[in-house]
Amino acid sequence: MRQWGVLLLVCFLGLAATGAPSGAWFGRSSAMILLPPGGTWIGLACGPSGTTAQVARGVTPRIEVSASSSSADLFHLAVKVVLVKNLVPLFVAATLGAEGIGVVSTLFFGPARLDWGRTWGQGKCRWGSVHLSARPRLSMFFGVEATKTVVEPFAGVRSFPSGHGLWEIGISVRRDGIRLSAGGAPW
Amino acid sequence: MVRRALVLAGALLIVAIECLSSPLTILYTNDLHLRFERVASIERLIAEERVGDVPVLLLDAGDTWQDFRRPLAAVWGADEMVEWMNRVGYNAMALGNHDMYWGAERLGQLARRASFPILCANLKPVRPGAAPFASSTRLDAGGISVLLIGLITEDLLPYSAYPALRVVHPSVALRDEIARTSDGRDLIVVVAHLPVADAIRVAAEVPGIDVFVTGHSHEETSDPVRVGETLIVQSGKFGEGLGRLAVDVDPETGEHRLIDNDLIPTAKAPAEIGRGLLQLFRVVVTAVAAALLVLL
Repeated sequence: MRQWGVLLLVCFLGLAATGAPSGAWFGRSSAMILLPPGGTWIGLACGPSGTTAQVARGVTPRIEVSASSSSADLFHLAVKVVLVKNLVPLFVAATLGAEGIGVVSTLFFGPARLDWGRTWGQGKCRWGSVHLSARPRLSMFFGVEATKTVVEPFAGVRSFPSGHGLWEIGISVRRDGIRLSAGGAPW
Repeated sequence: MVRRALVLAGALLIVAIECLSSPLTILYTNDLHLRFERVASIERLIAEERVGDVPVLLLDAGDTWQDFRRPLAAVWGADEMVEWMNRVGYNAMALGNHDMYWGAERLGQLARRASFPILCANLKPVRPGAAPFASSTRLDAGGISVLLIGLITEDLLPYSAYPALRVVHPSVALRDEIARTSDGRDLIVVVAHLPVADAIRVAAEVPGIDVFVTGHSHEETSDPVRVGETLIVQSGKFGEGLGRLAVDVDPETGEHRLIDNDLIPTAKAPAEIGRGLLQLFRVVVTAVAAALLVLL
């Protein structure tokens, strides 16, 4: 199964190399950090507006850093700091990146997870989503994102071909089209 | 004359079997879901069972440490429940889907606080250290070697929050674990957060299981469900009953004979859960503040 993941990753990399436009969307993150300190996640997404590669690494149980690259934003560094995590089921994190400062909150109810957040600055927006993961190889999410001018719903499915969540492929739909993503944690 | 001799031989055989086998009592709970109002009664019943000379095993089949339908207890109750289980001397607990709703880090903390093993054989860590539980454990109960193996349902697991765990079919995991750990003389007890119907399927597929203590489906088995030699039991929900299974076991072969199975009703008592008010208030205030931060 891992071979399929690698194959898909290679396909996405090939697509990126052909010069597809950039600005793809990975999906909104939660306020939880699932990577252990030292764990690294790599991913690639492509869609109507381009291709983005991303690397994220857990630094401590509360801090995660990520770097992404696309043709619109050649190098983008972001940090997520978990501010509240022992207030079960609530987690709250602050984010800092080139698009601005943000806050993300998560209510974790097991197979159902509610995330909502806001970013101030260049990439000003508000969003909320529900993530359902009641089957071993599949999870789905849907939500809405609002910028100053547009309110846009989105939905997607993540699949875990290896039967665990370290490697995944995903598809998400927004008004302007379909986005595909693949990624995993090879640590 | 011949008839008398046969009767005498039969009686001697029965006496010999009785002498060779050892009695064992298995007390079991499942799906306690932080129902603190029942634990005092359960504790009393456990103490009464331990008065005699018969060895007693105390097992829990999971969904014990969390229940968001009880918000006052859900925000603090797990630590208290672990302490109670330590105090009354549980021998093992199966991991339940609700127990995983704390998230990986907190579940690890709770498992470390527990003085008994948390068991689950069908969630396999794909990275070292990713599982705060064991597949099985072996213990000695009055000379009987007991192999305890844990299983969990695939329903309603928080898969995305445990990315480094891979789900394996219960029958496959159980067969592998028995082959890996059993020496053929054990009494094999599966402590499973699985409905009775799933346990019946697994018991039909995997030979050699002696007792299957189940959970998740909140069923009561006043008489054990039998699949071949396997006895399948479950004690309902919320600690309303304490299961008590009495068996005779041959310590040499691990073979068992059912003596009796009861569901002993428990009594409700006022439980102090008011301390959850402050913590719940903190959760609500922080969640509302976080929501207002996004909306305003």
